[in-house]
Amino acid sequence: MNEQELIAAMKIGDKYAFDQFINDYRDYIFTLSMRVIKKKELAEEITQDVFLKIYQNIETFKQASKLSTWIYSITYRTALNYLQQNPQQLQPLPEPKDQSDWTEHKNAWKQISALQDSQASEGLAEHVNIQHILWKGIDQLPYVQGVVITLYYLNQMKIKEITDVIDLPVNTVKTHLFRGRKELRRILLTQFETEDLI
Amino acid sequence: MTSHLSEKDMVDIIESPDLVSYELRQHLDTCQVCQNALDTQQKMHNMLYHLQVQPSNKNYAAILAKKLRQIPAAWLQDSVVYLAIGLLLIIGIYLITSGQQTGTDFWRMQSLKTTTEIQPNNRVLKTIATNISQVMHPLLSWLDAYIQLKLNSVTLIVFSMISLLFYYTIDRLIIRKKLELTFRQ
Ligand SMILES: [Zn+2]
Repeated sequence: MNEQELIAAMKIGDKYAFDQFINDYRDYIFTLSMRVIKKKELAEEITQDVFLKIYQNIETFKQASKLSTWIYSITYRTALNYLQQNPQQLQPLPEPKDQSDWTEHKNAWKQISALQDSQASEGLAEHVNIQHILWKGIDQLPYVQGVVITLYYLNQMKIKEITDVIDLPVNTVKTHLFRGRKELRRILLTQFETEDLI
Repeated sequence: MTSHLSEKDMVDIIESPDLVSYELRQHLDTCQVCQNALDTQQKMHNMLYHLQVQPSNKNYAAILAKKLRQIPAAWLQDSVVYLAIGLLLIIGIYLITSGQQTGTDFWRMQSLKTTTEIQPNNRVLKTIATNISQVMHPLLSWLDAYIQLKLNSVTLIVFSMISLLFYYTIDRLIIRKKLELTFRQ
């Protein structure tokens, strides 16, 4: 079932379509919520809220716009509303206990670095540890940068589409993307006491 | 020598390397600072390019699916609202028009009262009251007629709304049944 069929089926309240929809999007919504909320349990709660909102508002969705843009703007707004209502969640990062996690990642990083000559960067990126390392680093960024990086790389969105999701001008989104990449690199270099990345 | 590349330029170059302008390319070829900055961005870009989703709790999807099933769909909630509004309209119109006293009757009574009850020596008050009654009486006659007319049109509208809603529900049930069969295959 393609996106159009999925929306049509959901609009008439089809349970099976919604099951498929949940399977297709739950991890993406969760991953995006995590960038703003940064706590697993809360991000799962946000994900539930987002699905409920989508379920109740699917009628209002215009076929002309892209489903993913609509879903991720709901996700971003829901997570942001939560943060505004619970500002105590906006703790300064990194948390002290996270240092031990970095030590664990550092060992993984050494193994990964050792592979770099024999393996392409693509294969390396598939390495499960590098995913942990990247997400860990991204979570040390200001949340807007984390959100932009997530939408750009994970959701493969164009800059223009990202502006629709987070409601910021094109150049601001580009700045967040640039600074996010730059800062992420700095974080990784510092944590792994290395001079260059793969 | 042109100025260094902006953050925006770097993002554009990485996104579409083929679309770099001649000026930017020329600057880039000769400027080590920009080359280094771009190289840094490119390396991080290559790493991030294969970013994968973070899995959420598996059970939670089942919980959510169950939770969603328990909530009536938005369209069903809307239907209930339309039905409630329709019913309220019918009840309201019934209450307005079924009473023994219509607006016309009420003002005819008032007119009689003022002529009989107000003291004959209080002529000013009596004149005012009589005038008000006389103005209100034809106005209310007109309103009464309007309410009668409105009753008919409202009944018509409510009836059409209910019929449409019925058609809509049946239509959806049929499509839904068809789709459920499709999904099972
Ligand atoms: Zn330069």
